[in-house]
Amino acid sequence: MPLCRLALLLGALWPLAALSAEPSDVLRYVPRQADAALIVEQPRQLANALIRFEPLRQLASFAAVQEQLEATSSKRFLSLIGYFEKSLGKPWQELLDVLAGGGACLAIRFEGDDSPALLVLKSTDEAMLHKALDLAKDVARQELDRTEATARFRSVEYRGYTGHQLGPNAFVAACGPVLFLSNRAEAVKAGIDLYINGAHESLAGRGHAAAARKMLPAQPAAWIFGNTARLHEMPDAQQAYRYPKGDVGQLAVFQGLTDVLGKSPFIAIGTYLSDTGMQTAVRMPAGRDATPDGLALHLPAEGQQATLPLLEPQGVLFSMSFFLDLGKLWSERERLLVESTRKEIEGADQRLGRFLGGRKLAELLTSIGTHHRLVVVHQAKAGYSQQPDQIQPAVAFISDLRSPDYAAGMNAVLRSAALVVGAQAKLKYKEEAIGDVKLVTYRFPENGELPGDAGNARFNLSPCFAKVGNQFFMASTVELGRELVSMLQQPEQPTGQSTTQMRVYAAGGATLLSALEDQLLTQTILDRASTVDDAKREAARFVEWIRSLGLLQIEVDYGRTEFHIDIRMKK
Amino acid sequence: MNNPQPIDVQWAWAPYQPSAKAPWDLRRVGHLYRRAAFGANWDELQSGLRKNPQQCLDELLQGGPDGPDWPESIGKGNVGPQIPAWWLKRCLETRNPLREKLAIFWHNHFATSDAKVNNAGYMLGMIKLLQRHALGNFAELLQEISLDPAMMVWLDTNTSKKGMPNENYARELMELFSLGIGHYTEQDIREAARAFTGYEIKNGRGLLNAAQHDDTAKSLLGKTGRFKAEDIVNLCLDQKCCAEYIALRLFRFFISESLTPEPQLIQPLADEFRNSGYNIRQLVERMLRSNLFFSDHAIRTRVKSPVDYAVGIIRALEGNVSALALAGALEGLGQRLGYPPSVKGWDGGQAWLNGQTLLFRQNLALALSSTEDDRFKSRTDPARLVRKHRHDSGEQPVQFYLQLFLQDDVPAGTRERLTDYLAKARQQTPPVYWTAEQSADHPLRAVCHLVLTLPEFQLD
Repeated sequence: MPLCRLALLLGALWPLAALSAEPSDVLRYVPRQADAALIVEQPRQLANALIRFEPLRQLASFAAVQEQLEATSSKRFLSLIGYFEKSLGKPWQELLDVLAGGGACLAIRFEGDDSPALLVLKSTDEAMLHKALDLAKDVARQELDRTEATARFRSVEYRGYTGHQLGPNAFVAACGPVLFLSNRAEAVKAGIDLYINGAHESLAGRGHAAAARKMLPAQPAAWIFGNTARLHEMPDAQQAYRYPKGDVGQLAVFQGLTDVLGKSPFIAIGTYLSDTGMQTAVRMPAGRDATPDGLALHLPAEGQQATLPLLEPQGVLFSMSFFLDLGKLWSERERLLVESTRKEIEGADQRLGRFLGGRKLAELLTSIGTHHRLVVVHQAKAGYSQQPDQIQPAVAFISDLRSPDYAAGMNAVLRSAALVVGAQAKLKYKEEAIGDVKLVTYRFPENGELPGDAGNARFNLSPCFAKVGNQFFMASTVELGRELVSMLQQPEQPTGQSTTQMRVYAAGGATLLSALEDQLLTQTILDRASTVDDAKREAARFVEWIRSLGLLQIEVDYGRTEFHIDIRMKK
Repeated sequence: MNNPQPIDVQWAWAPYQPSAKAPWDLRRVGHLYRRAAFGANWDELQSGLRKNPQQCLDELLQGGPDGPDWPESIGKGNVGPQIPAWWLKRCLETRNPLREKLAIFWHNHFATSDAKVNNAGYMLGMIKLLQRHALGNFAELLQEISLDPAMMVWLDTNTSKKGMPNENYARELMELFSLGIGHYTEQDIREAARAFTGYEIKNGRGLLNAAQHDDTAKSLLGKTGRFKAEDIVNLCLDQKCCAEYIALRLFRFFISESLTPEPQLIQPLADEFRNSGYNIRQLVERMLRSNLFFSDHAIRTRVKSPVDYAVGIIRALEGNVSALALAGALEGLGQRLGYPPSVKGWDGGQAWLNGQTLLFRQNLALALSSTEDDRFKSRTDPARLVRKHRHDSGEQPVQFYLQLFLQDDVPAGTRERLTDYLAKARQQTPPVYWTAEQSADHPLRAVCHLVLTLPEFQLD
């Protein structure tokens, strides 16, 4: 499709441009009606950073990526770049400086399948930009001829500038050093209006883009501005923002994010690249102040530390530590919950006693603590003499207790639950003493079959629970449980400012992938048409590449008036 | 299609000897490789032409060594969607194409779908059973398939208990697997169903649980006894019509699906099949070596199945594509191995072709010949192929593709149109940024695509 090729050419030039001492003002040419905009202020810097980014460099050496680079479409694209280099007399890096050195922006207004999108490039050499556009049009014309397409370029005059239309959904115009490309004529016209009239009605002039940019750390490789104004007008969003709320699950998991989003006129996301690492920052201009006083389940008192240190058992794949005050769900239920939901919870408090070992739901909610942790761990071998067909990761949930005395209550709750499940699966109960700690364990019998479990998946599970100091945990395997007993006996204090912190560990993922080598090989053989030996080599390299990625760390912080999520990939 | 003149039975099954009237030419070499394999590549065609038909057939019947074993993750992980790709990869790479082709035939005969079985391990077990017996003994195959775990789930044998017999397997055993309609009664089915009670799947095998088995006497097909499953299968195999039914199914697969054979044409094959103790290889060999197989009664008288169509193109282009991508494409063409639409299998024949599947065939042909499709990339490149075989200049590419894919079996007008197209395509000015190689290759790929969309190429 000629249209696609034209877009491909312009799209390819967009992320590759020059260093500029001044911040880009490309947003001056983007209409303020845009809902979202992706901005690259220094395209060449982004291109260079991507080229130097070690994980991508390593990825490029894989056979699958090499094959993609050798594909006909890739070769033609490189030929196209070569043709532009030759015709315009500069290597692509310099062309990037010239054609998009003033910045590039892709803006969109969400209107369903046919949403208008506008690409804006600001050149540092007006003559060169016009020459490149003429060249691109020539190439597109040749493609149209080759494919015997009926579409032809048509010139359109608007306020003294000549735009070009190709088919019903491609419009392009160059005004001075600025190029506009869109799927809607109105969007290009709006861009030309801004170019002529000035930036008053642009994202730079009327929106919150400047404030969004200021909230982000300096020098993003690329950043996104999201305008939340239209989101706030949606009935579903207004319902979600309103107190009291009807959905307990949503309240417990998304209360903080929903409240902040409801008070923020925009969201800003920036990405930063170094040779070996990557960081993404999410910012919104609302924080603790977004939630009504005394109702925040997700926030500790101001100034208090929010989370306990992350737990990192052997083979850890994922670790999470977060603050959540479920007690408030009960004590503040009048203000937090709509009447119907409140009555359901109060009814449950009355009804669930026999399933909770005689304890009340209210007692459970108000007795467990506010610091919670979750770990997912790869364990090389299941703790049975029979092994499952596929090893599954082990999981544990750890929570502190407001009063250590409530451990007996948790014990009763979990034993009741185990009684219900265990009766059907014939689980065997056992208590294991580890120092002063009593680990309560359940195991499946190894003789006989369990209907519906042809792959012996049950041998991935030996559920257990224990109280260690003021911590209580449930784990899916005894092996993980034993390790947690040892870890939780070390003294620890809440240390993090973040209300949620998470880590994804590449090393654990690589070890898990190694354990799943058969699946990896089969997928490689079927997808890449490899021999078994080639697939083994490729899979081993892929596992090592995963291992080299280090870890992904995610931290969520609520300031008084700012919300931060920071995602870092580091060695 | 009824035959205007009855076929001489003696002539039909006599071994084919090349003659002036029926020479051993490219057309017959291609026909043999299409029916007894998944088509031939250029070297196989040329080599086949140099040999005699007997040598070619010996090689196809003999086959070559199997490749290395695969990991067992599809079965262990119950990854059903990988089954079609797994099988297609075997078809693409096998050195026993006749065995693989027959395994697909038996898969259609004993049509079982993972859509209900929902156990990839059981399905792979059944497919391997079909491969093992593809050219073996039908009696053993029928016995083993009757207690195959996938079949037991598919036709509910595993839930059939004393006092509550399920008739599904007994019915299909007689109707579809061994006798054909008209050779049994409803009473026979009810009695046979009682013999199939009490069979359970234990550790991946079909085993009898005597406590759930109806051990009382049953009367069917003229016999009475306290029959078990094995006895019922033997009773079916004892019926004269069993050999006739299977011979006819294989006749339609190997000889012609448009020809309606007179009973006397099938009878010699059926008699031999029965007398051999149901030796499949002997029956297949008799058909493939016959005059009838190499005659116009057989050549291009079947519609290619999607698997034959696609695997044939890829093997001819000497390519090696993603089996997962190919499996996805073949689903659109109407054939998903491991997932036949019903217990009757795929309708086949002209049912393979309709407006939609023809369009999908054209799209797949384009994807496999253009090198511009993200799924297949440059793994099947007609331009590279003609260069490799040094047929890339002048009109040679048209001649090469027509010989490779159709063994020149097209009207003269078709050849002229293709030659004209290639000449015009070469005269067109390519986009200015294309390299010389890109400009030269594009018309070669385009003309190959046209060959693959010819009506004649849809025929087997």
